[in-house]
Amino acid sequence: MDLKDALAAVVGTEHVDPAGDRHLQDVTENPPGQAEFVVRAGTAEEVQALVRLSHERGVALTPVVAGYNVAGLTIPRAGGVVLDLTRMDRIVELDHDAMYVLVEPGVTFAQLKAHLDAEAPELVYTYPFAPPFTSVMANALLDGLNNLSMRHGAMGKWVNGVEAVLADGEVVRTGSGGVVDRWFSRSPLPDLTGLFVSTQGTTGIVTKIALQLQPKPAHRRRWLAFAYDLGSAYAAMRALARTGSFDDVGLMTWPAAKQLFGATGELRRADDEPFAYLFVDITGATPGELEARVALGEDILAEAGVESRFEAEDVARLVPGLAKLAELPTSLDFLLDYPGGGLTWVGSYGPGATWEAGAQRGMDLLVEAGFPPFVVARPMDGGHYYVLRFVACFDKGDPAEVERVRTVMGNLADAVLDHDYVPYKPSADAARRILDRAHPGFVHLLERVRDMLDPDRMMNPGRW
Amino acid sequence: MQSRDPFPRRTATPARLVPWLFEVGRTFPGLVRSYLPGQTLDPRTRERVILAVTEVNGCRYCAWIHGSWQDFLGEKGLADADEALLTYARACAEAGTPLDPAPLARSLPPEAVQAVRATVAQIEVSNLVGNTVDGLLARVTRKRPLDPVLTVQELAVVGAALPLAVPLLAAGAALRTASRLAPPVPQAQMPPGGEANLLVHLLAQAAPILLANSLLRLAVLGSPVIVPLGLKAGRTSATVRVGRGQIALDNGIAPDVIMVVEGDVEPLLRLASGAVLQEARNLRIRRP
Repeated sequence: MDLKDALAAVVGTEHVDPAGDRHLQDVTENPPGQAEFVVRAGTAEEVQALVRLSHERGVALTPVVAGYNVAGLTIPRAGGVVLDLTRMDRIVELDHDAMYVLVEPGVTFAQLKAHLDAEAPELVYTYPFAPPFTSVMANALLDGLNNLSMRHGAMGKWVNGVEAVLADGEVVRTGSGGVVDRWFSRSPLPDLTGLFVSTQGTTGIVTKIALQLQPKPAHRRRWLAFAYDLGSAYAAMRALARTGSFDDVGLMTWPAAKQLFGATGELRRADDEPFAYLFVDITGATPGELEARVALGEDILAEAGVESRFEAEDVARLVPGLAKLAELPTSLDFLLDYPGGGLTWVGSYGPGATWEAGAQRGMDLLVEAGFPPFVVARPMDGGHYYVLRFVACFDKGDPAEVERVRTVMGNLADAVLDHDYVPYKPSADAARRILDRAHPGFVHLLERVRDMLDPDRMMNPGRW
Repeated sequence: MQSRDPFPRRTATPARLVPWLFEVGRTFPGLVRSYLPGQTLDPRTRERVILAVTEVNGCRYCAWIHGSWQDFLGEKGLADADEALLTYARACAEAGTPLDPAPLARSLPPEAVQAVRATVAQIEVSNLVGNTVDGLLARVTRKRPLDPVLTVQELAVVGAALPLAVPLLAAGAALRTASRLAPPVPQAQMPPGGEANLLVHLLAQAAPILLANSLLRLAVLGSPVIVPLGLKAGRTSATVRVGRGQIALDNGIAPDVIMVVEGDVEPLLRLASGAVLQEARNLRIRRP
């Protein structure tokens, strides 16, 4: 039986197609890949059968969910089959008491939010500045950052456990759900969940993931504030994060704000403009709790020298189109619709001590390469570490510009590593740069894990 | 056996009016506040509530007057809280009696709840009176039985309301005329490419909201001369030139501005979004 018939025997002919552009490239500078077929699995059993089939025939398998990918992470690099998990979109379980949700790979942020609003309005998940149609599971497994990550850490920390299909077709479970029929925690067991976090699908195909939820406070305010230099921005983020009293503190430099208002092309900062915009989310279970946090926030911003704090609501009243930015998940149209369609970044996690120097170096590199100094940042996990993300919008149709982006992204990956920051969701190029600098023992252990779980390197080849 | 009244809308009868008049009495301070500067209920929201109730009751006079008012004020985005107000207002109108405002209290402060209740009550009374005019016309034109007692009762209602209704209709006509005369908000002219500062971008995007009011559009855009004004929000400044149906924006304060409005960003934003009297004291106006 040829490969197509064998795939169709598992999922039905209507779910097997020749691989098209949508599955062979993404919005970044990473070059398109090649694959023979796209196969859309509908159940964990089908995933298991497909993985076994690939294993037996020595066919590479590249998993993809929800169809919007970054850093080339799901561009097939060794031919074979793209395994599209979009059809697996069930919310399997919602536990109000243990505050977790068990979902399949194709569940999107919009779907999860609608489900929680209807079934558990007292609980909330955490959302990124990513389109609502993107995958909750992919974001968590890739250890992304969301709007409650300042308080509760990167998304890998929110994973209570997974069910996964290994390269030989064996189904495994991790976390409490691997032992009892509830997915309340990764503790107190050997932490096998980590085998599937940030490994970019190279260790197995996750078919279910248990994710923590948080209580939803009844009262909320969001501020915007202006910072005129890196020092005051960092001082404000550091102080706000350390109190544990704020839900989120994020930073975007001035190019982001201009693009938000529709500016494109060559951007210039006027002499009297702020350097960066901070957004601060404050919540409280009661009006009194909210007020106390508001007072604390006012003091901290003033002490850090951050001027011109104001309510995001007032801006949204004047420019209603901006209101959706306060309600995640949301699409950042100014990034997605940028002329030329190219969008890429180097995002990294690292220590506060080198944040300012790292931010400055990265901005210098962007400017030298002809891009505006577009930086996104956030304290993470109570201020234990920070985000530095350098963003570039570009014209995918201009080969010279693509090459320029590729060069600067490589330089940025090196620059953040120079400042002890580590790229998250690294492209193949960034992963290579990470491993080049890693402790030999780290590299060796990673290789041993992969040798054990996928000795033939058939699972999402080309990564790590 | 009495034949069924073919008039499809609710008219003013003592039984229908009394609960609403009591509600007006109970919430009267809220009613006054909703029409005063610095109001707890934004005028656009107030008019939306009024039109929601009027739509249920089908009063064409109130729809005309308050539709004119709404057009005059101009449209702004609908907030989530507004949706709760409209749901409450429609429910009251459908029930024909004031309902428990507890659902409102979850999202609004007590003064705002009182203002909403008062607004619903006063427009309910107005709708009943307006429908009574049409009911009376239906009797006169024999589309409805000419019951002498009810006719006298309806005449009394209409007669009592006339001194208030006539000026309101005249005001509606004036507002409608102003809306028709006011020029549309043009696309703002800005510095080229990515040079515009954030204040300029904000002003350009906010222009339709800032100039939503027809009278303001008439005065500002209808000006026969172009007026240059300076605006400084925090450290960032912009020059606005308005008049002759145009808006032009530029970075910084130009030397020819006739005055500069300056203040922190928050009071300027609040001023721009409607809280004129509360925030004006936090701003400074100076000569350039």
